[in-house]
Amino acid sequence: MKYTLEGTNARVMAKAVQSLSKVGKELFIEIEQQGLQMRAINATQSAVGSIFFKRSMFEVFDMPPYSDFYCKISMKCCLAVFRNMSEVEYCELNLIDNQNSLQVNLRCKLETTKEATISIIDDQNINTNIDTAQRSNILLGDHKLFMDISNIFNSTEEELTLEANADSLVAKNYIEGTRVNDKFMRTQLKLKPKEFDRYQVIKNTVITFCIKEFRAFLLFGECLNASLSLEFDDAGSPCMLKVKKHGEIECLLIMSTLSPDDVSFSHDYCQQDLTVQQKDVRTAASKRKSSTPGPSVQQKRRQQDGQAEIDSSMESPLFQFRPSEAPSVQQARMLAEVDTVVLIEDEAEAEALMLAAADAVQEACRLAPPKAVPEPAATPALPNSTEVCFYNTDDAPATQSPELSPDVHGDDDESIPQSPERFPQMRTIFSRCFQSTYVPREPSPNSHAYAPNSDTED
Amino acid sequence: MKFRAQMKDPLYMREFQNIIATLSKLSKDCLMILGAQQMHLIVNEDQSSTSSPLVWVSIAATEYFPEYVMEAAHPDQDYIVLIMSAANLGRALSFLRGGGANSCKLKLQRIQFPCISVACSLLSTSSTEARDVLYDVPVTIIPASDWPTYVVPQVPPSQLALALPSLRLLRSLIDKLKNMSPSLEFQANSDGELNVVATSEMSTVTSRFKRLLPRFLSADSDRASCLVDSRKASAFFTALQLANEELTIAIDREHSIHLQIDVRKDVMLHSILPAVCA
Repeated sequence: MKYTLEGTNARVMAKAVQSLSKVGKELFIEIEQQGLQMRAINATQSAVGSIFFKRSMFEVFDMPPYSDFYCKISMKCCLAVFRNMSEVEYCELNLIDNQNSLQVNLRCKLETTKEATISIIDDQNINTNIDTAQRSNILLGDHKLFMDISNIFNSTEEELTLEANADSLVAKNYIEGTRVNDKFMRTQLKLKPKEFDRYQVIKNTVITFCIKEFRAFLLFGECLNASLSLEFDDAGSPCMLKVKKHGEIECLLIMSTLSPDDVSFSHDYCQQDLTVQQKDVRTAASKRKSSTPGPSVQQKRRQQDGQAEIDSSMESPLFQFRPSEAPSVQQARMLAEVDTVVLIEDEAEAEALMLAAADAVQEACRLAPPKAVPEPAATPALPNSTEVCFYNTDDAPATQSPELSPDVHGDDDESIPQSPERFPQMRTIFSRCFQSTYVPREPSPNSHAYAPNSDTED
Repeated sequence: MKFRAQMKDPLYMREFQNIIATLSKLSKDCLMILGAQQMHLIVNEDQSSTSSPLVWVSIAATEYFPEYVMEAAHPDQDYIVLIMSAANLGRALSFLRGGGANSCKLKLQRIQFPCISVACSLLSTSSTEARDVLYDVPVTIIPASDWPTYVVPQVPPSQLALALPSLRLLRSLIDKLKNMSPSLEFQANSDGELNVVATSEMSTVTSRFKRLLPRFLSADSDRASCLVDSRKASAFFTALQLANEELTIAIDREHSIHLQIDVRKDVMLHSILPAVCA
């Protein structure tokens, strides 16, 4: 099976690989009759990017009819191969070695040829059943506009919040109403609908998503010199970034957005008399990283919703791996995959959560007899994740948090049993052990007020 | 406690942004002292950094800010003293560099913590609409009890001051000399000559600037020299982002060198390089 690209198209493909490399560590390639699709999913499974190259972009697209091909390769290898494309005149992709390796031949100027053989790790594919049809809110604009939005934020910013109203779009790096760090510089850009090529906002919404993957695709859109369209519904449901070029290249980035349940709103947010000192009882960590706490912690949170404010987190993973062809081998591997995906929180987050959980449990113990095992989330609250797909009829392990949509049948004998739940009593006895020694709850001396706010404008 | 200022002129906004950019290259924190008619920005106040000199800027409020309102916390106080991150302020003002800004408003506010809100109204090249950008730069308010530690530095007395017409020459020179020797000697005399001498164990390099205009001459001497740290001098010159090229060097024999750049009539940037032992 052989696929060749001419120089400029090869460069576009290289740029696509570079953009996808910022999303995920592995590249999933799917080749079908219409063309070639590249996908990547990020570590926390909160964003999936896919770039589709139509058959017409290729000079030779030698594909046996009625068949398709999937593979997964290491992103690092791809990046190394597609690094310096300025000299390339012709690029040839071959599947060799009984479809176990991908060979890339780059014919460059001055009769040089670079050949690379990338071994295929797996034939897995990502699939989602998220409807990619148009959402209710659509923003279509030139890449320069979105680059302007992205550039007002520091390169170290993690999340972008968009407040879409009928008459304005505000891009921020914080969520209105939440408490932020003392040293945090709030940034905000207000745009008018006229700046966009198409501005459709049915209902006022506020969405928050990770800016890293957004920027990666923005970069690709910029080198295509195309318009981008951002489509979303409301907080909690996924938002999509679409880039289309000449009908030949289609890009789609699906990002999960922060659900309003997960955001801890600060009660003392509002302009106030400078003399009043607010005690911050909550934990200080305000960064919201894409992570899902283990199921037990999450359930505690559901119970203590009103009493303890816990750091917000992104939704549980949206996407699931879909094994292909050989089920017997695939199953074991898929389980392993999902295992590693159940998430690695970083230290601060884990500590903060434990701190909060300890708080929550202490309060619970004071108010009510502790439950031995937290019950599975019976709360019919807004589901934390949107439709997670389990595409295959093969058994999907039920290691995800129980808030998933009820269509999922986890076959119990395939699922990995969860670790035994921790009993809350232990936490209350040894609660001090679980707390970090410095509890940053006291208001910082810097925030002491010296005079009331007498500005007549406010 | 109230502070509000607004800028409208693109040239002044660009100059202000250049000043802040200069300060942000010199140090992390910037001290801002707001008086009734003056704004002072001070960097490296305590001179504790071995690689960055003391630099301060005094701006007459009426020059840059057609609207400037300052009310201290108590009626008998004259100033508001703030400390903020120079990099943050620089980033907040970064849009003023392009020249597309219509106006820029600074306001001291408290939203969860005290901050200076920098609101710019931009007209970008790719759009016909004005956009509003808002940055809330967090600040620390210094209470009156701590003010004695934070004062605007004084211009030191000097025996001789010369005007140097080309900053660029001196900058590239000091940049190369700093690798040669840890200290540089500045020698000036009343005939308008300035020598910059770098001594190392292998060689001595002297650069002579001739025919400079004396700005100030005290009665008791016709020459003065001072030995300063070359890294500090280099840091000062590389950090400068101003459009000006003229510089005044005033030497206080064996004590310090005072550098002054007049950005415009009532806007001046000063720096003091203290003397070091040989």
